[in-house]
Amino acid sequence: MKNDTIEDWFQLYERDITSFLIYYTGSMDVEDLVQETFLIAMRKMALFKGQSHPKTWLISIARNRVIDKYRRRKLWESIKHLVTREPKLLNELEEQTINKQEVVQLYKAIHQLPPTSKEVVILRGILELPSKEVSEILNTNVNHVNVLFHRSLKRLREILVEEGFTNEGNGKIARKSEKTS
Amino acid sequence: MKEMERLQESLKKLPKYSLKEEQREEIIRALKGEMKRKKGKLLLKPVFVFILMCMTMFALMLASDSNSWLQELKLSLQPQLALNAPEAIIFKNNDYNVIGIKGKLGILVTNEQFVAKDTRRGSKLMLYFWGDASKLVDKHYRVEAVNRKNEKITLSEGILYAPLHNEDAHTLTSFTPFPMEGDWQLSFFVEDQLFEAFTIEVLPPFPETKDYSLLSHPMELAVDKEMEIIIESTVESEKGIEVKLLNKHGSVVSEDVFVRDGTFIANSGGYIYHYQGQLEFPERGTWRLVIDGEETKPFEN
Repeated sequence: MKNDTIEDWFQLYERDITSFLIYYTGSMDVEDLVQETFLIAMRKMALFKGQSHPKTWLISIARNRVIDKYRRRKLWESIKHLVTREPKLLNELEEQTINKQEVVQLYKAIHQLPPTSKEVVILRGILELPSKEVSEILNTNVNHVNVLFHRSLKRLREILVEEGFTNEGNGKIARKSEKTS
Repeated sequence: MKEMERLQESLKKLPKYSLKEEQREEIIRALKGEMKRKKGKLLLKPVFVFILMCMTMFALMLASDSNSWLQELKLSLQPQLALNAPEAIIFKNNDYNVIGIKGKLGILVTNEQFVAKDTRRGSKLMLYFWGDASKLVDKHYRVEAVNRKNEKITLSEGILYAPLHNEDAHTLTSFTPFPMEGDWQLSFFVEDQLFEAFTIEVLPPFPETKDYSLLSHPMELAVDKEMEIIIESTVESEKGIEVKLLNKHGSVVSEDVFVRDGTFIANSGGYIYHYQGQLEFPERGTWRLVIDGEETKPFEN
């Protein structure tokens, strides 16, 4: 029964997990992470008590997976100069796939946020998860999520302004110079 | 404030991504593969747990002494012990039949064979010792028994006395009942030194029901002819008791109404009644008795 559920969950929440991972890692190459997330979920199914929404639970797994990889990568980054002369840039945003400029700008701005702010903006702002679910993923309380989201939006706006972008009334982001010209 | 709302709108409008169809299919395949592997594991798991439980139960059963059949199973799994002493023979001492080793040791018995779990045949036994009287009389003796399954019991112990007949020392005693049938080696110690040893065969317990027990042992009865049989009980019946002999298919092969033959006072203070009748075992085999409506377990003759 539970094994059937994981396939159902894949059909239902793959888009959320993929979106989260793309925004969270800054890479379009998240297929492996998506697969790992669902495989881990399948193995840990017995631990899922149904107290949180499956989507919330799956995003938590995906997030932890990225954090684990990031930790390992940090260790690798600290020693790779010893074994290779031409380190490849990892985790680059594949800009060609996100071709709209405003999306790219907003995306870049999000990635200038501190890690926790970035997380809350992705979860609360982009994936539109309720504060309660975000608090479960980030292991914090709802109030903190609300406060953090508000601060993060403020900071995001500042970054966009610093970069010369502003919000238009229709929710689009445009460069000030373009707007005035 | 409006700018913040606009920014939120922008965030909401950011594209959501899904994997390519072939990537999705690839992951679904991987998930299904993992499911199969897991199911295989799940199937194996109960089998493994079951085997483990059986082994644990078995180990516990072997460690436990509480159940008789388990005890038998436990003993049957133990290596058979070689009984080295010679077999007992029957010889005469002052015109009475004794069993043992002629010139060394003899037990005065009414019946030649002991019966497992029976106190009657082991009661009031006379033990005769032949040897150096000065090293026997007034000395401590002990009789120990061991069977092929290494089950050990002390049958009797006490003091040896001066001779009554032509032996050199004697004592009157009772044996602790043998817990089970089979070959038993009896070792006689005087002052903790082995004096003599011999082996005997102990018969299976007497067939019995809740209220009745045979006093005649089926293995000692001849077949294919009517034999007198005594049944013992604490139940008093003036008109006698109906006794049927059943074969292994449950058919009655012999029957008789046993009549009261004697009344005795038991050690407990109550009365014991003997009923006497005649039954015929057609051959050697497995049988059951129905005594006054009560059925015995299957037994062999």
